Amino acid sequence: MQFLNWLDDRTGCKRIVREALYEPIPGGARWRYIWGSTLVFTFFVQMITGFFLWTAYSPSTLTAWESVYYIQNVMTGGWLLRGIHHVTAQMMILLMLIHVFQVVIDRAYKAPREINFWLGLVLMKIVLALSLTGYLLPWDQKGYYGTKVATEIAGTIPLFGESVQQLLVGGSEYGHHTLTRFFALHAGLLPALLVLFLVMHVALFRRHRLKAKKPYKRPDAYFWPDQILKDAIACLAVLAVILASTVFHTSETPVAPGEIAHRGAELGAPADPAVEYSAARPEWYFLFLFQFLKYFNGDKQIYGSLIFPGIAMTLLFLMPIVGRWRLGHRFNVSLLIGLALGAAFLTGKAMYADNVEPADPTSKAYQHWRTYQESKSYEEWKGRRAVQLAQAPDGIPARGAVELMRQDPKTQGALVFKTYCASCHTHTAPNVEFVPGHEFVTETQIASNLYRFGSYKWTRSLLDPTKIVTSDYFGAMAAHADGEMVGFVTKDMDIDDADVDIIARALAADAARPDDPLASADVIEAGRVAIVENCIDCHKYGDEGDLGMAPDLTDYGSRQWLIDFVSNPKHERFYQGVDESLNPMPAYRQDPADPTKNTLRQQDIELVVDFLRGEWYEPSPAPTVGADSQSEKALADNADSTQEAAKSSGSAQPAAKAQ
Amino acid sequence: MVRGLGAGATAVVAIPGVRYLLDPLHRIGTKDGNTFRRVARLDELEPGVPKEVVLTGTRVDAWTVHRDEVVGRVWLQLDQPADGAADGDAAEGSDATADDKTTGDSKAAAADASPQVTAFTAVCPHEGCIVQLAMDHSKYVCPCHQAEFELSGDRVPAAKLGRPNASPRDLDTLKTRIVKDDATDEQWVEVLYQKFRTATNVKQPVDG
Repeated sequence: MQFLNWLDDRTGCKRIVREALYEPIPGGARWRYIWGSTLVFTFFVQMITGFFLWTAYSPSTLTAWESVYYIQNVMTGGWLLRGIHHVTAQMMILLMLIHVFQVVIDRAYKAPREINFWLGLVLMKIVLALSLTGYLLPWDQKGYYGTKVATEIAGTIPLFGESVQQLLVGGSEYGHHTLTRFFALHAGLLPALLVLFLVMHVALFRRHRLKAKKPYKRPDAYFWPDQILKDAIACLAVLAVILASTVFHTSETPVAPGEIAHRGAELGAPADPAVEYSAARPEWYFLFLFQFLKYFNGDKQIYGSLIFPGIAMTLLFLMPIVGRWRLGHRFNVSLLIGLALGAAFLTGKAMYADNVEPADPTSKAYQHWRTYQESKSYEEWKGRRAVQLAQAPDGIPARGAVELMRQDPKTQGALVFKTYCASCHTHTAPNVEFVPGHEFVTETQIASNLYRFGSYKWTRSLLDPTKIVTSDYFGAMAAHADGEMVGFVTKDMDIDDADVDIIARALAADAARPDDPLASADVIEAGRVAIVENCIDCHKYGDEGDLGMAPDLTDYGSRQWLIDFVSNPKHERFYQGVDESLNPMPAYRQDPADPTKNTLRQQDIELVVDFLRGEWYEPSPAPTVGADSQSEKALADNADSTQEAAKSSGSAQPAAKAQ
Repeated sequence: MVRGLGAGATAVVAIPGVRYLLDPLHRIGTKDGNTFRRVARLDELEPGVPKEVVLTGTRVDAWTVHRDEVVGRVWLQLDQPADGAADGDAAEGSDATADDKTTGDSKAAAADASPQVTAFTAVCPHEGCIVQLAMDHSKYVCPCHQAEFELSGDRVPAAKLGRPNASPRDLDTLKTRIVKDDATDEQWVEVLYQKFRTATNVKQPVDG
């Protein structure tokens, strides 16, 4: 007590505390006054969690995603902290909405509180800017592409739009300086402005006193302890909601064994400017603006992006002035309700178009829905894959996590296949659940289905007279369908089924797919003998037979065989001399010495080959089953019903395939 | 005097600070553009069937140089010689063909209804998303705000679409040329890749 008096003598602190606590509240404490306090509270939560996140965040294109990954998946309590920061940001938007409604309905924007109302609107803008800048910082695909649309809109400002955009982005393209600038705004300028305006906002609020709602139901009271109790309860309730939504929020899509569900806030795959992203959307509270843009023809875009939102904002700013007229208050209330309903309607439309499957599969709406959903589930998968790779023994290379993704056959190999192979080849199978982005079906199929090419089953089916003529094997392409192999298998082949089996076994053993169980050594040896007996009239096999008539069967389907084949299928080892019109497959890397002649780089070819062979890193904690202990039965039903993801983790797989 | 000192002190901080912040405005126009890149063999293209090709190059991000990276996506279309394909954009492409190094070959080829290739950048002129070919291959569609373009690159008119078309202009064409490789006798399509400002009614290259 004595100390307090001593302190008070020198600082006057008692008076400050008294003034802060004993603010009179006409009509007593009420629940309806809590909203401002909850907003201040959430802001403090953001300041604190934000500071902690700051201590581990690193803004550059090579480290932003990586540091957020580390916060999220490695650091103690990181996911919780980040989750709270993420959820509280959304909570602030909701609370702000309620606060604005309450202020307008209770006429608290009218004289003499005009300036405080305007300060509040400025605060709202600052909070929205904080959300926008924060969305980019993890540098994942979602934040990168979502924010890109927002800065493109800044570019539509007349006269100096281009400059504004360049200053925001820190150049003409997204890069290091986009992050450093957004981070400086997010953690520096905007919070400082927020504090400044908040101090003014609260100071003016105290000056004008609380605008009490009439009629008064109870006698006047003070802020302490009545209202503060209610505020504290409300803040705790808000915190409880935040905590619950953080802790109970997990990945929306089912996660395959070995994959990590994200907890708290989502982290997509690292932003890659080279990979298209078809699900670019802003955060949900900006969705109405996103949707609004769709209603304007391109040349009128500025109405949707700037003019109408600007008019709405101006009307909000004018509320205290409009409110002076007799019907002004009614106008203001209906305006606010109208705007809110409009925004809610647009948000609903945007969500509906993205998430509700349209009935007619030929409609444009359906296509839009499907594109979005496919892209979204693909990106979610890729986000989990990125974490998986980052947690692999090799970790994240110095060139960043994007490099990790680009060297991953499971991710990048599939993209190479999509771009270069999928217009002719399919990669599909009935009853197999593919990882997103791994199944390819095309109407223009003119070549074989490469799903598990080189496996026992693939090769065995090729040697089956009923199957070789189907489009999955040699039926799709004229050169093959009328070719000698089809003729041989369907008519001339005089080999009993058991021998065909062991031939396929031997070829599968040469291909050595990591997901294909090996037959026993005896079977393989017998199969090799059978190949020499039956196939070398046309094919070369090891030292037997000659090149020139048909593809080399030596190590058929192995990694090197495939690399050589994709590089140049017209090589003498493969289809030399076959007419171009009959075998249109181009040589993707005809001449390693002359890059101008090559459509694909060596590494792209290796990626697509490893993708086809299922050779990629999988975390495999489960004890692997050795090939010898695999029963013949397991060999016979050849893993077809196994899910693709489960398959690779269950097989004996080199765990360090991530180069 | 005192005011002058105050202003001076402010200027010491403010002038370098503002110039520093405006730095990005001076840092534009140093890209490895203006070179034609070889993207596809001519015989890989079929009339009326758009083909997407991916362009790689060097991307400079402040102090980091990303070599050999995908810098853009381009849709190529072989125009049917019978139809003439003589709209303005295609003509632009053929101009580039004529006045570049492929003198003898291209003139000879031009005599017998030379094939013409139109190239569109896949960047949507609206907000810069990447357009895709519709499922039935009849149009290009942007997945962001559903702008639609005919295979000719023209915007689908709002009247035909039944709703506004978000794109402010047609898909941006790129200059193309067809080059014959002397060594292999193969005809190659080369494209001059450029980026254009989005959300403007007129096509303007970024980076001047």
